[in-house]
Amino acid sequence: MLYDRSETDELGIRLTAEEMGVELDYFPFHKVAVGFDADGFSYRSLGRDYSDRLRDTRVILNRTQSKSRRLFAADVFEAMGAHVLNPLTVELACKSKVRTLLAFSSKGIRVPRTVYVPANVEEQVGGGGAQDNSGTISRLISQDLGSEKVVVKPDAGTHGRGVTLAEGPDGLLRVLRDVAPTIINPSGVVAQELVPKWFYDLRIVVRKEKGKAPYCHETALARGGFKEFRTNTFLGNKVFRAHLPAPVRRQAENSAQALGGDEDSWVIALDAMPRIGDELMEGEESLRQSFEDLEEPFSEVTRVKRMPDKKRNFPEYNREITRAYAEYMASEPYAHIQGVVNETLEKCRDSVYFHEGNACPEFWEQTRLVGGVNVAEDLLTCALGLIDS
Amino acid sequence: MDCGANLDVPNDSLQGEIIGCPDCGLDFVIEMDESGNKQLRELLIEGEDWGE
Ligand SMILES: Nc1ncnc2c1ncn2[C@@H]1O[C@H](COP(=O)(O)OP(=O)(O)OP(=O)(O)O)[C@@H](O)[C@H]1O
Ligand SMILES: [Zn+2]
Repeated sequence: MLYDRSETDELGIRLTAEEMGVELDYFPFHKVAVGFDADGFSYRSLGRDYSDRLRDTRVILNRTQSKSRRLFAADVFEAMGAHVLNPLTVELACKSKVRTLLAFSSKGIRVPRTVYVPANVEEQVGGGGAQDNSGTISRLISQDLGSEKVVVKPDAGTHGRGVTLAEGPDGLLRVLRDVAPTIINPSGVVAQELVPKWFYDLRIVVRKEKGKAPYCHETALARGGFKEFRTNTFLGNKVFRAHLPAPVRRQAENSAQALGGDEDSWVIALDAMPRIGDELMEGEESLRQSFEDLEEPFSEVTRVKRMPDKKRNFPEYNREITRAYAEYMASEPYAHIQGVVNETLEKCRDSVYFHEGNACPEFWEQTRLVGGVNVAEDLLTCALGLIDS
Repeated sequence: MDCGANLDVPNDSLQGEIIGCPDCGLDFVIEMDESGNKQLRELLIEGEDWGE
């Protein structure tokens, strides 16, 4: 396993490896020097030479947290002849939202209608000075998506950062003025139709073992709330276990396969949204009430998460967080909201929109305990599949 | 330590001081626990393109 910083996910992978009887070693990918020339590789920190360990390593679980750094990691280890989960192809396909959406749509998978404008909002002109392209870009976007409600997002962003809902032509102009090239949005502007997902989206995990077909888990993580249009959990949204109708699982497998290309093995966490028609949005008042009532059972989860030293006392933390989520999931408001998620999902099984792939998902708490999917098991199973062959 | 190394905390090290593990390169902050003993907490680095 390779990482630049370890969190509960990485400790969880270790714990799962112990339970599965898999031998797991650790490589740092931060303050090390990767040396190479035509004679081969060296891999050294200031105090230790990892080069020999590297030669005995068959599969690398790449848990490097920085996206750009993770790409370097996949590059380096594949060049050294190791199998990497996920392979470089998958990392590349997941890194850019535009690339991901192109891969999906070219395979006939439903995606939110997306517009990419290559121009930057502000551009330097020869001879000095800057040109403001916001008006042109705004018209280019509205020409295709209208201007009533448009989502603008950084191409390679994470955690919903910079994902903005623009309403009306003036709103779009305002949002565009804040878009500039950065590490998470190298060039141009990405805009998308707003998918009416009512109050939730889905995190769906698909794995491919070598020699087998892609497999989508039966359950997924639904994330939702009425606070705003983004459903990221760090914004205070709540999580639920969703049961995936069979057609949604097939679409998820096709979507993940579109990102997996010809690679033997991978584990991808997809983000998807149901398009929910007005006629299905019933009882919103009581739903909002249930979200309010859910704050109380959820406060225990928040309390346990703040536990200092959770890495040092990982087994204890793990017991506590498992208990806290179990109590939260046994509460009445949870059951109410989960019921609505599963009912609407069943009815919208043929209008689920896929929009993103995550190559290194966080999973230990929410996806595993609430979503019912331990991604560590997927990773280790896929790694064993590569070693056995 | 993640890498299995034993990190020596010098006797004269102070609370808040950062020491790096030579083996894995992870950095640790020295903290005092309730009973006044020195403890190491991993320094968590972060960047704009982090996470899912
Ligand atoms: N086209 C859209 N229609 C409706 N809601 C959207 C749309 N795009 C994004 N959202 C909402 O905004 C949230 C963040 O968007 P997105 O997933 O694209 O950003 P992100 O930075 O990649 O987040 P994450 O790291 O959690 O995947 C989504 O979880 C979803 O709830
Ligand atoms: Zn170390």
